[in-house]
This record gives sequence, C-alpha cells and structure tokens, in this order.
Amino acid sequence: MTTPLNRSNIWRTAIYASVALLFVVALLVTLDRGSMVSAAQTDLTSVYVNQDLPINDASSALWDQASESEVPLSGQNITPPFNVDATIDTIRIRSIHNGSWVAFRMEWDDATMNEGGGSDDYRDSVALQFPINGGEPFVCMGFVDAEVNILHWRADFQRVIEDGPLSINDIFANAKVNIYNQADDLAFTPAKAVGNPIATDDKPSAVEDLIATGFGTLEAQDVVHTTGWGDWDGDKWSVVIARPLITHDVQDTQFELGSETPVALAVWNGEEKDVNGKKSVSAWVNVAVEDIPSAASGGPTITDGTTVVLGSPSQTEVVETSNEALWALIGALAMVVGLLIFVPAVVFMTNRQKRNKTAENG
Amino acid sequence: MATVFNWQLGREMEYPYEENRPDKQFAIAFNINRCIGCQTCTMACKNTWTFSEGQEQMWWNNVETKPYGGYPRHWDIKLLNMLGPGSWDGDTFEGETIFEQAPTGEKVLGHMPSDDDWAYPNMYEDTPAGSLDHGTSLPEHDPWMFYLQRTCNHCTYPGCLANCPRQAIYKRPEDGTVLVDQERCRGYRKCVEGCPYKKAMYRPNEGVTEKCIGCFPRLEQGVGSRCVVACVGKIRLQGWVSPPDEMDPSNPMDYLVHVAKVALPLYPQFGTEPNLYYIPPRWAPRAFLKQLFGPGVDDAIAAYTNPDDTLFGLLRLFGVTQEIITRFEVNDEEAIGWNEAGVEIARMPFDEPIYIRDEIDVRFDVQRMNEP
Repeated sequence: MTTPLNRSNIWRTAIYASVALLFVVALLVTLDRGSMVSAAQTDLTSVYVNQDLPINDASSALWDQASESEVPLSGQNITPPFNVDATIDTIRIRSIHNGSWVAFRMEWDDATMNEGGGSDDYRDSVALQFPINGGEPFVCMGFVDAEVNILHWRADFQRVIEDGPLSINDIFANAKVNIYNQADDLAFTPAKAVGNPIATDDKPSAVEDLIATGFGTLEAQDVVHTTGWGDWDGDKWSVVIARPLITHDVQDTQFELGSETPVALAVWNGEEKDVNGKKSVSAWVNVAVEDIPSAASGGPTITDGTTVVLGSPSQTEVVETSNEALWALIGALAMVVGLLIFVPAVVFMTNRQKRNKTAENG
Repeated sequence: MATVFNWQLGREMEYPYEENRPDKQFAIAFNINRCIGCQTCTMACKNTWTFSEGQEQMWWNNVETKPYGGYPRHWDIKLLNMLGPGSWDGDTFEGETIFEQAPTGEKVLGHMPSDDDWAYPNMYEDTPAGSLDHGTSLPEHDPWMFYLQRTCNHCTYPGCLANCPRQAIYKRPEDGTVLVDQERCRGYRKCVEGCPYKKAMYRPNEGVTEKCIGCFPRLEQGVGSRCVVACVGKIRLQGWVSPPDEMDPSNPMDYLVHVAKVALPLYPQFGTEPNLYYIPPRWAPRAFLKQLFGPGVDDAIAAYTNPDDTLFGLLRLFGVTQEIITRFEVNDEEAIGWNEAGVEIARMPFDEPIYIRDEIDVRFDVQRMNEP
C-alpha cells in the first residue's frame, strides 16, 4: 500500500534527499582524501603562532599547535638511478608560521643514523619542493619554465657544522699522516677553490636552498634563505626546515598569507645507500598558509627584527590575500543560497505538474 | 640509449649518449714485459696530484700484481663475476657490456668498493700463482705473475660519464681526457660505481669525486703525463690513438694498436673503449691474458716476440723523451720521432756506437778504468 504524496510529504522528501546527497558527497570526499594524496584540497595547514618559531627545535611544544599530516611515499622510479620500492614508506609533517617565517617539521622512522663519511657512506636527508611560479610543475624536479625551489636538509651538512670537515681519522681512527704539503693552498682542494657548496667547510646552513628545472638540473642558489636542524632519537628523525615567508628572491617560492601552495617531499635513507634519484618521494601535497587572525594581525612578530633582515610580507600582499579569502567566502555563500532556492523551486514545479496531471485525469 | 660503434668489440653497442669522438684521443702504451714494479710512476702521480688531505686513499696511478692484486681490492674480479661469461666470435664480442647489462634503476652495471677496499693499494704484491718447486720456461711460466700498470683509461665511452646523473663529467674534445667538473659535482658517487676500472675516487673531506686528469696541463704543452715520463724502465709511450678507419701508420700509437696489433686494451668486454694499451707479458697463461686483453693476445705476443723492423724501431722510442711523439720513422739504423710541430725530438740507433780508447791516458799518464 502506498502513501499518496501530498504537498508536505514532497517537501519533506526533498529536504531528506538533499541532506542525504550532501552526506554522500561529503563521505566520498573524505574517503578520497584518506586514500590518496591530492593537491585538489588542503592537506596541510601552516598554523599561525604569535611567537618566534622553533627553527632549530623539532621537539618544541609549539609544534603541537599544528595538526599532523601523514604523507605516503613511494620510490622515485622514473629516471635512473632509482629504487623500485621506497626505503621510507611514510613521513609525518606539521607546519607553523608567525607571519614572517614559516617552519616545517618532518618526522620519519629510521632505525639508523647516517651522516655520510667514507667513500661508501651516504647521508640521511629530507627535502621540501615548492613550485616557484605557482601551479603544479612536474613533481620530479620541475620542468623547463616550471622551476621548483627545493629546501634540502642534510645530515652530512649538519655534521660539518657541528664537528667540522671530515678527516682521515673519522674514517680510519688509527691512521697517521706526517704532513700534508701545501695544506693551505686552495689549488689542492679544487672543489673548495671553485666554491662548490658541497665542499666548502663554512656551511651557511644545514639546509640547502636549491633550484631545479628537471632531472639533473639541480643548482645551489647563491644566497641561502633557509635554515633548520635535525634530531635523531634512536628510532626516528625529527627535522625542522624553516625560512622567511617572503624572501624577495626570484629563485625562491614566496608564501603569502592565506594562500595555498603545493609541496612535495623526498627522503633519503643513507643506510640503504640512497643518494640522488634513489629516494622516497611523495606526490604534490597542498599546504595552506593560515591567515593571521584579525585580533592578532599587526602583532609583534610581524615587525620583529628578523623580518627586517630577510624581508616580510608587504601590506599590499596581505590585503590581496584577504580579498581572495573574502571572494571565496562570498562564492561559497552564493552556492548555498542558490541551492536553497533551486531545490525548492524544482520540487515546487514537480508538485505543480503532478497536480495538473491529477486535475486532467480527474 | 643511443647506438654507438665500439671498434674494440667489433660491433655496435648501447650507450646513454651519441658517439662523439674527440679531435685527439689520449692514449698510453705499456710494455708489461719490461715493468719491474718499482712504483716510480705511482709516486710521481701521488706527489703531483694526490698528496693532500682527503686524498690519502687515492692512487690515480697504481701498479698491481696480477693475478691476485687489485686496487681497489678485487675491482675487476667483482665486476667480471657480475657480468658473467661472454665469448668472442673472432674479433666480435658476443657477450654484454656494462651498459647492456645495467640493472633496473641503473644506467651502468657496477659495484661500490668499501673504504677497506681502497686502503690496501698493493695487496698481493709479487705474489705468483702457484709455487716454485721446479724450473720453468716459456711460453708459459709456472708459477707466474706480472705487473699491471693502471691509470684512468680516458675511455671513448666512459662508464663514469654515463652514470653521472647530472652531467658533471665531460670528455674534452681537444685531448679526450675525461674530467669531473669540480663545481658541478654533488658527490653522488655514481661515477665511482659506474667506472669499471675504479679510477673515479671519492674525496671525503670535500664530499665530491676526483679522478686522474691525464696531466692535461702537460698535454697542452705537448709533454707526457707524469707517470709516463717518470718511468725508469721506459715501458711507457704516450700518444694519440685514432679509430681504425682514421688510423695513420706514421703515428706511433696507431702503429702499435692498429698496424702491429701488439698493444691491446684492458678488459675491452666492459664496453667503454678504454685507451690504455698493453703489450701482454709473454710468459703468462693465455686464457688469463685473453680475459684481460681480449682475443688479440696470441697475435700480440707473436708480434712482440718476432717484431718487424718498424715495430722493432718503435719499441726503442719508448721512454726516450718527455715530449709526445706524434710521428715516427724507422730506417735501417735508427728510429726517429717528431713532435706535433714537426720538430725532431728523438733519434735512437739500433746499435749503440762502440768507442775503443787507449789503455793509458797520456794527458794524465794514468791507466784508464772501464768507465766513460
């Protein structure tokens, strides 16, 4: 026995159907996000904190203010040399910013600490890759006219900063060398003499500031706008990579408040002889740089000493990003209003047609 | 992968880059039969290029005792085991090269020596195969050993260059030397892995790779590499080798390699077209020599044992000048060498003149001793 559809029944059904539809869509989107990394939505939010950033401290309590995203990794297997399978399966990332600097903390499980050293020793390291001119360039090192900016923390650089350059006794503890002739003559350390940043003893940072336009094109930038530090606790690495949001360097990605940018991650496991293309990589992940809440904007961190040296977001840029957010909100509201008018209208028309039919039949 | 021609294999082969031969190709010929293993070449190189911190394990030139010796330890045996057997059909290699056998994820088949492997440069020095409990004679000694002189081969198809993921290694068009760009190298060490001869070496205190540079500043002056000119046994001759279709019989290196076929490449089956050429030792087992120098061993030993007049003369030009002989001529009495500018730089008689002097030196009224 069927219940005849009267006017109130139709309304109720339409509302239930709309809610159910929205629920199903929301569920699908959630499942989709859980199963694959996609740049189509925000995967990571760089949360605003009104304090100096813990740029050398991966264990700071400030990191708890940001939610953690777990990013799956796979072996880079497009161009040799590569590993078919990832040597590190997953990496956890958080991000915070204070209006002038942004910092990322990466954690991954690694039971061995590798700082490089001898001829067959390779270092652990982690890199963040950002497009320089927006969009989503080829995720593997970018492409011609689609440069990527890569921030690469290296355990071997950190070791040099901590302990100085390697000597023969770091490799063979009991080796004895009587004398190195002309030891001060740079001609006999040619890589240092030509300023190769891999070779120089004075590392400006444990993090390299790099640019690339495809496989084999990686170049160190002349000015390093990034810093960071890593800690290994016996089971995992916790590494911070930080830099100013805005550097005014055309070779760097600029992070504007309230904007989103894709980031790709790569991890090298020295124990597995990972180096160069032998690495575990992610797809593009979207990171949103949270706008400064209105109550906090204009706070002390915007005008602190650090930003004067390395550049801070200009007022215009902040206003622009605010406008973008406003337009997005208006658009979303318009969609909801449209839905609220459209659904009842369709239901009303259907109801009216049915009534007319009934009238004709009658 | 491109298809290139490797004349040492008598066939085309796969290589990551197109064939691109230099204007001149660095080459050294070694007469293994005359080497006494004194390591003067090794020390000349060490004292010129690798005496600094971080280069302690580096010997761009080394002399190792075969069959057991090797620097780095077991460099060749390891790779031969990885490659597996490969046979020759006449002068054509039917096996696979290090490029053709590259495993998934790699461009070149290779291995990475450990720090320990680099730490014993003259292991098994003078150690023969077998033990001496009886007399021995040619054609094959029992027991036997010989010295193998090694530097970078400045290959036509370098494994190091092929394996570098960022083109930090290049081959100079003017002399064919293979160099690591010290500004571009990022210390990935794929060249160390990809060089079958293990002549690219990691420098830990700089985090980059260095290698034999062929003494190119000397080559630019027409002067031979340090290891060549320092050889007290006069077993080395430096020059420029041509591909067979462009060979010039008046060029000493072309005559040795292409005309007399007395000097052979080391492990041609690796596929890099190496440019050091060896006159094989007459007394070693032929099967072993063929594994090292390819199918031309019997002919090379025959040519060396009974040299024609030209080869006989040319062998006398080994080690007689510091300059590079680019043209030579042999007449009934002597061998003459010229440099690139056409200036005569060597003239070696086949028979040294004999001077007979009076027993008493009348000027000083003394009896002459048997001294000059």
